[in-house]
Amino acid sequence: MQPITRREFVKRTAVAGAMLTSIPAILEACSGSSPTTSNKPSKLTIAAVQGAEDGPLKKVAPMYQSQSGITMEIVEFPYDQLFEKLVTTFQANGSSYDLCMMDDPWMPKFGTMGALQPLDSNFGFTRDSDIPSIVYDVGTWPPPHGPVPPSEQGKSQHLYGITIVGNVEMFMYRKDLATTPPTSWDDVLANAQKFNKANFYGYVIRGKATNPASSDSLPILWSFGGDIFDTSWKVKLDSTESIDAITFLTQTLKKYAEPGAANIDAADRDRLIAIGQAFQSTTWPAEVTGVVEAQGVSQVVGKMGYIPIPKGPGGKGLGMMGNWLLGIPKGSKNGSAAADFIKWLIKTENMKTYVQNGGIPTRTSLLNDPTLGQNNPYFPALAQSLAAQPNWRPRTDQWNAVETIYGTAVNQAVAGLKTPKDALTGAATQIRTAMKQAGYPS
Amino acid sequence: MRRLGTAVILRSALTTFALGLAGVLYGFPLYWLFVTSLKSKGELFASTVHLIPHNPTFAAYSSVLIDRGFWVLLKNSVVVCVSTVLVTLVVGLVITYPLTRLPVPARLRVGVLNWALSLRFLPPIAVVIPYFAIVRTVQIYDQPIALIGIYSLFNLPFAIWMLKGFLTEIPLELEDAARVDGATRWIAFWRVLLPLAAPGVMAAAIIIFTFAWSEFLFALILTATPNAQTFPVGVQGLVTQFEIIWNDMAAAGVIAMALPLVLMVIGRRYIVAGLTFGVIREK
Repeated sequence: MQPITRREFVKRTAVAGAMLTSIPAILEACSGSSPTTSNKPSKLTIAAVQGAEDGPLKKVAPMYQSQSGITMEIVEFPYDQLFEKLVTTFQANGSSYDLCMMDDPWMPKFGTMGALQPLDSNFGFTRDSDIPSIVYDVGTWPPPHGPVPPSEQGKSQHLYGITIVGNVEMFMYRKDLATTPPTSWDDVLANAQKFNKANFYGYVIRGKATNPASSDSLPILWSFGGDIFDTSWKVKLDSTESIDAITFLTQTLKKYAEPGAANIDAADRDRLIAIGQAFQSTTWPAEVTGVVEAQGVSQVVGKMGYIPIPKGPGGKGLGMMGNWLLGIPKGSKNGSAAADFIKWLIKTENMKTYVQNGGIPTRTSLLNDPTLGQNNPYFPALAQSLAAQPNWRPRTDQWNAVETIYGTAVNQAVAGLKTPKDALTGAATQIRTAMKQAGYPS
Repeated sequence: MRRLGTAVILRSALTTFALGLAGVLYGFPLYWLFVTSLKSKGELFASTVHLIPHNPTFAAYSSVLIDRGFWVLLKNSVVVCVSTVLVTLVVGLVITYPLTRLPVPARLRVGVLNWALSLRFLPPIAVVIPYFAIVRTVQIYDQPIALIGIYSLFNLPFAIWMLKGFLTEIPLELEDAARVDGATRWIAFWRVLLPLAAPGVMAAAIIIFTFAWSEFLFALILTATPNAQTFPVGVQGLVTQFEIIWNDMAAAGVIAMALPLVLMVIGRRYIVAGLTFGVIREK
């Protein structure tokens, strides 16, 4: 073998190194798939939230796959990350996802961004009388009722999302212990006092900061006549009604709540209920199916009663929507196929199969189906809650920031770090500043 | 004499107690992780906590790998980590060989080593956004190559410094002898230098693999689907909005721990030799 010069050696080594380092790139380039542009794609990718909400979707998607020949790929993310992933993807107009699951408070952000394909004008979706109108309203942007963000006023309304998880926040209590269900928050307080004892809590507060504390307290805030904004986006979180509501939750009811409520999230609440250590709380359908009524997991199966949110001093109880919708990102190259999948999923017979696999329906006929109700004792309460036009969270693209401020303030009040009045007054000031910066009337 | 014997026994007892305590402190979390992975959801929701599972089941492993499809993420992790190790070692050797074996100007050598050191101190969070933008621009978002690139970059300083220590320790005369016998520089490198440096290269490979295996931030930001997602990204998804799936998470933890642990056990001799190689003398 001929000896080579040092310069030649370094050159050859560099070339060899470059070739080796390129191997993964070359392999990747050979195996990488470009977005399908044909009418019938080989695969549809759904960005979904991990948990009880997407479990039934994963179970029925293979049925569609066998019928259509299209591979259904469901990519799961935890709640917070799904939102971040979708925002990132939408900003880049990426085509990673053909369908996306969206919590309904995200609709204002995605609607304002123009991130989704309109389902009505592009794919011929129309309203079905078996599905409550509020379910279509929540997937429509700009919102058909209530205040509209200044930047969105005058835009034409379109349907951008179809609900596949008909979540509405409800109330649960131990019906084996109480003879009658609570109808008002006074009844809730009375039951909490009556049943509270050592190692058995009269009420469970989901008081962890931000989204948990916000979700837990908003139905009480609304039922007491309080709110975050009025109909013209003026902040009313420091109103007497709002302060009374949060005082009721974080001081009056808290006397009978579990210790460390400021750190409790839904998983902890469900555990307390499931092991028979608590009497009552607010709840979401996914908590009922996932834990509270799960055979072999919960010790209180069949012992819980489910009702719409109890009434406040004004005589109204307002549940909160938490629908999960399916939408089609603007960047998707497979819009038609994605729309076909949504249409397939919401057909009555397919939604029934979806419900039999743990899904939460939006169709009134399924919610009132007694055979389905046997395994889903909360269905009547959910049907009532949907029919009563539950509140949705303020339809603003600033909601994430607002929720963080509000949920932190409620958490501070639950933890006893601030009085409810101080916490809400401070939060109101912060929200006014944030909204003014975003172009809303202060 | 008796007092001396008592002191020895006491010291021995104290040492045994201290080591036992340390063993429990280190071992119990691993034990708890393993037994949790063997518990059913019903047992996890029991009012009383059991140290030993009443009805042990491997259902959580099946749930994680099959039902949730994490085996794909596991495969991605292996591909990304093995590629990272190969790329890092090759580039590391390309850089360290001239620094240690050729008459490179001292300024250049010090400059390269300082650059590598500064890269090591760079917090990943500082580069995640610009790197994300680059990845988007060159259209490798959600592709394993994006992770291989950044992992190799961040592990390169470690490889350079570690390999430099090993190569420096191997006498130049050995290579010169091979060249006198007619070997080219490449043959001398391949047949003489590399076998001698093998323990160090193996140690570096295992440590780089372990670093890449547990990386989370870039894997989370630079991937979107199971096409490129790695195992740690899947594991964190087991904390859902309404539930923490403890047994699945524990099973995923055991699986995630298994491969680096096996590698460590297999290569412990190399790692110990590698990490102690060159600690005495610095050229």
